[in-house]
Amino acid sequence: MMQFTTKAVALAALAVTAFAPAPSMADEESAGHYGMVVFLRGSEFFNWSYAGFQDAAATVGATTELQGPADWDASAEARAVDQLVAKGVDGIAVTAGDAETLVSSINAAMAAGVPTLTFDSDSPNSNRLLFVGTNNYNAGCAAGRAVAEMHGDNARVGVSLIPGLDSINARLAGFTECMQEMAPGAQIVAEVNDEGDLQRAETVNTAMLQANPEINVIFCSHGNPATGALAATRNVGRFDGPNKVDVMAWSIDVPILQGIEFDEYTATVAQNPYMMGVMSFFMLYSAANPTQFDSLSNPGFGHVPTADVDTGVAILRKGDPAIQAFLSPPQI
Amino acid sequence: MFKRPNSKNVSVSTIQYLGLSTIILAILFGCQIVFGNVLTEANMRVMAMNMVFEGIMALGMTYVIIMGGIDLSVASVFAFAEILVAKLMVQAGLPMGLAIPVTLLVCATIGAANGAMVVAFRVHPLIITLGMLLTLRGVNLAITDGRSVSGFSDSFIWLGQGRIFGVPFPILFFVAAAVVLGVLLAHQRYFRQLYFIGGSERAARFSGVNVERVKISTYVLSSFLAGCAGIMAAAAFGAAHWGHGNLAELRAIAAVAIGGADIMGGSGTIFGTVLGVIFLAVVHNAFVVSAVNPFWYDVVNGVMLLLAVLVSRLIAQSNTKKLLSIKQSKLESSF
Repeated sequence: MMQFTTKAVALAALAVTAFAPAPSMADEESAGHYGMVVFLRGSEFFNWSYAGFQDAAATVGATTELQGPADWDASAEARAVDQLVAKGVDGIAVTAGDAETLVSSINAAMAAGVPTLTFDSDSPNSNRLLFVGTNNYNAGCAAGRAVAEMHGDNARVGVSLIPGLDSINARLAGFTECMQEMAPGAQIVAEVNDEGDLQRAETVNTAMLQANPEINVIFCSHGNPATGALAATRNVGRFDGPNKVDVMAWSIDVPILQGIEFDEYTATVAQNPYMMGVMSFFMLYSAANPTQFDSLSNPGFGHVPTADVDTGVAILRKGDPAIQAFLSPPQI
Repeated sequence: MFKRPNSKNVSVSTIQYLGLSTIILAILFGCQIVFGNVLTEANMRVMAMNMVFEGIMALGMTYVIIMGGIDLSVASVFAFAEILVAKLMVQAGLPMGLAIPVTLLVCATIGAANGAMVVAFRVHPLIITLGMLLTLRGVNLAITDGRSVSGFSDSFIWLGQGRIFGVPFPILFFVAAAVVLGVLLAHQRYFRQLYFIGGSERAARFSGVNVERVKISTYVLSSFLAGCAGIMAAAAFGAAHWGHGNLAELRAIAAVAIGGADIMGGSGTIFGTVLGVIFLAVVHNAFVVSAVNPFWYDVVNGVMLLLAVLVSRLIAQSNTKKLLSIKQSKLESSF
């Protein structure tokens, strides 16, 4: 039995050592080790964010790691934040799968002296340093202006949305105000609840187009309904030709980008997840390396803006070079 | 009525437990030597808290699996308990002392419904509890509109974040529940019947065991423990959300199987499950401290689960062969 135990210990220790990467935390020359915590780990969007985080860290010789669940479980994210604090990382960027669930973990991290910020999805009630991400009102505004440029006062818009979400409400407010500012005659004709589901989006958008034949634009106010909305235009025979309904997506997924190049979608609202990662790292790096004077708002930390950092959006249309860039997934 | 396992079987499970304990210690000390920052108080506490809620669910799952059943609904019951206790306190204004018992009662009723349907319809519990999992997931989403519920009192928060002698309350709850359930399973006649039912439900029925009652009460226990875990999780995270505990049922089942329980029923111990829970927590921690791509985490857990199931099936097969050879020799001697 002793022989078995000794062999097992030796084998397991060997395995741990063999698979171990360079011990970055112990590397004295390292500019620190920073963690990013996401939900839906492995999704293209957050892979872009982590690539930005990683690339920004490399410019100053810092190392990074990505943690978090492969699903929507925000409690697993909270545990990942706790784990990174226990590990002793120099800063954490977290996207909150649920704003409230992350509050206690973010507060505990800040109390432990680990600078922590949110990106893409905020946790405004926490003590996070700041939020780095898309300002939803401004993003909606950019989409509204693009529609006004395309159709002017003749724009008749149907909106595919999930009701009750603050982020979508802000996008819609920005969209409406900026569109009507440029084209006062433009109108939102109908709003439908796609419940964040592709098939549902096809059903409700088809019904919306049948009931409101004057609609010439479908504005998808979040990432999920674009494919369903496009199918709806096919269902009512307005996929192409003079009565074509323009579909404005809100996604940088490959099928949507390819659809723009094939003239299926008119445009997409592209957030910049890569820049979210880059800016998140530099904010954390600045917070973790105080200069002569501490931050006024967060004593003990270096300087970061107290206002949120808006990474902005771009409206991508056919031929935009950014589409080709997004079509090449990052290496992480 | 119940024979104690013979000495040879005991030594097989002892070898399993020793092997698992050795791997756990090797990973812990190996990571400490290579990466450091592992055997610190903060890391040990985080490591324990990482799996404690799945661990509590795994305790109930152990009973269910020994009985030859399965309970996929625990993760949904977990989230449902979070949401219900939160809504009762924050939105209905019930005091904590009333909201918690009501929540636990509702969770126990869900378990009773699972058990009653398994018994009444004679359908595999996988299907019944899968149906409950999906139903409750939908209920959780519908009653919250996908939003979290927060704004708890400090006394409630203590249930998830409070400490006694520096040890978080959920961990103490897990330890106490493991001790009580372990003792009951090993020494209390009613719960020993689980092994009998898991080994051969027909034989148990012929021997006068009230199989229906035992089954229903076991599913009640499983849901009750998932409810306890959900209440403490809401307190630990300061919020209740439909997405919490997603896939926790699979981690709970994995812990039970890695701990040496036969997934077909008839064998398993609470001690083994506790080792399985610790193993999952340690492996997860090893991935974080080593900064290895966490995409490999599920691969390691999956391989360990397959190995554990393989070992327990081999043991079960060897026991069956021995039993058959004993029967054969008895038959031959009678002629």
